[in-house]
Amino acid sequence: MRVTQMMMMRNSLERLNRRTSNISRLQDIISTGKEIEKPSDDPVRFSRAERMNRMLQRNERFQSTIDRASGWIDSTDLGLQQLSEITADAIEVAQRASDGTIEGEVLESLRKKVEAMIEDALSIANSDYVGKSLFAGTDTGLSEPFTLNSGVVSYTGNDDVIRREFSDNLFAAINITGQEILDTQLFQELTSLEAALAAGDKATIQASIDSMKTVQDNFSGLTATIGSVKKSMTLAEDRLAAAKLNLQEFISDEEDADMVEAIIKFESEQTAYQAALRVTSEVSQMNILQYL
Amino acid sequence: MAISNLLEIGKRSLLANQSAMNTTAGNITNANTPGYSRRRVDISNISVQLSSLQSIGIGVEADTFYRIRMQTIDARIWQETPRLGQFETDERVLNQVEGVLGVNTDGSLSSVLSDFWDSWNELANDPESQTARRIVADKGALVGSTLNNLHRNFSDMRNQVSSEIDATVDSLNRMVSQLESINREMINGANPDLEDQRDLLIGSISKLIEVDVDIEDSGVVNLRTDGLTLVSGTESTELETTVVTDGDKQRMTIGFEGHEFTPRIASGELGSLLNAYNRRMPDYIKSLDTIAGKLVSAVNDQHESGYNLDGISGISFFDPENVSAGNISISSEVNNDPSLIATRSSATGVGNNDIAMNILALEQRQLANDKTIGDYFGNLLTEIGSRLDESRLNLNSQTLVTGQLENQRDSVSGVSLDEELTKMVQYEQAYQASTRVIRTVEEMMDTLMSIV
Repeated sequence: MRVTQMMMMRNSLERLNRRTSNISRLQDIISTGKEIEKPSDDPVRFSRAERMNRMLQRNERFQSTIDRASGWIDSTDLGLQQLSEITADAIEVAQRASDGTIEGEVLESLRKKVEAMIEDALSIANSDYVGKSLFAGTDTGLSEPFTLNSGVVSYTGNDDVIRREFSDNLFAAINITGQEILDTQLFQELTSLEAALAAGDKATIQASIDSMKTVQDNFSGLTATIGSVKKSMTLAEDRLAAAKLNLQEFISDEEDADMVEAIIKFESEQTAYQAALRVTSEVSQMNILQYL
Repeated sequence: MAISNLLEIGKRSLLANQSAMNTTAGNITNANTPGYSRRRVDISNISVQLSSLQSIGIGVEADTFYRIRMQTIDARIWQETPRLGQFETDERVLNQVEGVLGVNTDGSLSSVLSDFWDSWNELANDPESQTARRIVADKGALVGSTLNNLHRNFSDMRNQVSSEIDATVDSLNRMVSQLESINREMINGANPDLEDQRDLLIGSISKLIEVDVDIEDSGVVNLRTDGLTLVSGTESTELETTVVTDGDKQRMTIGFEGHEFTPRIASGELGSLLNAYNRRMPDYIKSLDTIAGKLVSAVNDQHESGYNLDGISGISFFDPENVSAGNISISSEVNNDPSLIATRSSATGVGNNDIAMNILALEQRQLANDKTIGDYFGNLLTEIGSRLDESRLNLNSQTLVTGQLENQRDSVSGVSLDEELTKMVQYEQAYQASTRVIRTVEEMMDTLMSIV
């Protein structure tokens, strides 16, 4: 084949061009640490990584929901425990008061104690978590869902549940409504105990010990309910954390560059490029004029 | 035979070698001229017939002046270049498209959408909060402005393609009329310079549009595209672009002045640009419109049925009038007062978050052509990516094919400096030898004269 100047130039440029574009791609990969940055880098891997990124974001969303819910659930749990302790204290008071020898001032001081317990229980039932009433159903803006009026505690919140999604289709009610608190009969028993103490009605006092124990059982029921929510939340959290690790690993497999491989390729491209430059400059200087 | 004849032979030899030297010099100076085909002079012996059996050489002459060219290779090159032009333009346009979508950066549509769903999640976790509402409104507005920007970028790009089409057609027309005037000169007799110009023009035209080339023996060229004549002898046709409005869509067609028929232009730079203007860009814009429209209607459906903190329902989150990517925005009510954002399906209980959760669940709903909005957009990205990847591969292989053919052409028609310089030495020596002949004849004559 006859080789002409134009051919030599075209071929040299074409080869050098191919080398520089390889080098520039490798430079991109090494300096960003990513092999897939744009869809055209590898459409299939890009689309897999893209889907997994969306799954990861969804996963992180669930984790944030769990983070937020766990404070609420802990506060609810604490409130229930405190109410249960008040019940235990009330039982103790009732037991002391039911002793036949106790009367007069002592009985009055015990009544005052129960009165204070009612105040405590009310304030716990009206407590909030970051400004939201814990036991008002979804009517969380209500600052006092429970009010005491002439010896009767009434509830003005609603019976709706507050729902959260902990992971795909795993929904849970994270609240105990005020009605459920009322249904434990705590306030009714406390107010009737107070009335009995005021009246010195030993029989009612005696009877309230057993009913208070039922109240305590009711609270255990509520604590168990919230405990199981917490349990399923923790399980979901563990699953999410494991899934997150997996996803991150998959995404990294798809997107991230194998640095060792990239650097080795870069070095071999570099050598090839230098050789190509060298040979191009030598060849372009070769010319019959040097010998004429 | 007279001695003076010898002088004549010497003179002819000087002239012939000078002419050959001329050609060589022309080849050397044009070694890098695009489209130049090397020339060659044929030098032949001249003789006179003395009798039927005897002839005598009376010197040399430079006769025909050749342009060395292989028409079959040219034809192959002209067949392959339209595809080269097409793939180059495909790659350039798609590269821009991919760049505009701003993949994997903070402001990209994927990340903005994800932030939008995140903000609804935060609101679902804290339905009483004003701050969370403010963030939802901000992220909603950001989804709107991101889609608006993408839409504007695509429209700008489409306009740019349209002016490129006009410019390409202009330069095509200019080249066609140049070919026509070359044809006019060819009729008076072909010459190598005209032929080089003609072939160079055909090459440039075939990069823009696919053409059938028919070169007559006289050197006159006839060009057709999809059966329609561009140049025929001394007549040429001008192409013109027409924008056809079809409903709310606009298409560009290219046709001949006064002809109803529009040729199919599938390859060449022009084919690629037309494809981008008429099909690709509208498709991409339509996909963005689908995302915007489905998002607006799905979010609004839920939102309008929900109650906000003040117990009011029926408020739209996105402006229900604006359902395309070009104008999607959050409603002015929500924009002015984010506290109007609804989270609950009943007027009671501000802690109720069912509407917020329903809106968040839209992320997983197959709203757009049986796909979630995220998948739909992901598919669009992947599709553009595969197209770009494909056009790069095509471009690489087509560059190799045409490069190979051009090498073949240059192997025949190109100038080799080594060859020309060698010839120069050869002709120079012959020239020197001829002068020697003349001097020898002079000496011979002197000798003769001294006898007298």
